[in-house]
Amino acid sequence: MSTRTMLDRYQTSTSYLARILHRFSGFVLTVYVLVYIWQLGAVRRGGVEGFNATMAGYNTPFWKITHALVVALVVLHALTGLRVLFFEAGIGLKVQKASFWLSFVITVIIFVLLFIKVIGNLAA
Amino acid sequence: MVQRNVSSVTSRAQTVPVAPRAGTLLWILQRLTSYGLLLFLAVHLYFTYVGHLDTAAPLTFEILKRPYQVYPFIYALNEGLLLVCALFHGLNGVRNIIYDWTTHAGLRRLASYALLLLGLGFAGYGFYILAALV
Repeated sequence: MSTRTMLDRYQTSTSYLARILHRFSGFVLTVYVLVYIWQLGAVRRGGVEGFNATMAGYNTPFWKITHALVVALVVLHALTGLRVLFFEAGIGLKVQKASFWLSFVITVIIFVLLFIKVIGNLAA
Repeated sequence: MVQRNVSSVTSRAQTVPVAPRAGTLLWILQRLTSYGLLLFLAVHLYFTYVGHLDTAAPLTFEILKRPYQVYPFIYALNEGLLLVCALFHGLNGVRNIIYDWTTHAGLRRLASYALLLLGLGFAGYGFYILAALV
């Protein structure tokens, strides 16, 4: 399939967009899990002081907003993944577009709520 | 390796090597680990993220250890199973992307073994960290 054809399908098919977002979020989360495990290893590499110093480095607005985004990606991946599981069982095949946009809207709402909460903590 | 003419998944019919049994097992495991993640990750996020949303204080070793002490064994079991499910589901997902991207048998095998090594390495390191927390 040529790049042109892929872009056409991306523009016209909600299911294709859902698949791309499911894979993209899955890949980002996998990289995140590997970095996460490595950073938790600070307790083995630097003891309790080393761990606390490493985690203090993440106590910044940038990382708090990033973590809210990662949690939102978890929600998006879980909801689009549930879509896949239901469709494989033959359930909900007639609401493929609606279920994707519902998943997307729920994800955006959760991110906005977390964002407001995190920003509120920073201001307090 | 079994060769099969495939016309349904690519734009042009082509002969690709297929290994039916190995693929089926990984497909089932991808589903099983997804059920596991729904439970274990929900518990993990509750204790490590949602429960700390009201504070702006940095995470410390003492805070990290608390749920392990309040819920002995069961929380460590949750985190151990989460580690296995997350690594398998994530790395097998990357393998699925690579298998869609190329039908080259050598590249596929190289990716499979590289991801297997990466997974075993991080699982080992993860359990080594977990042992410091229980």
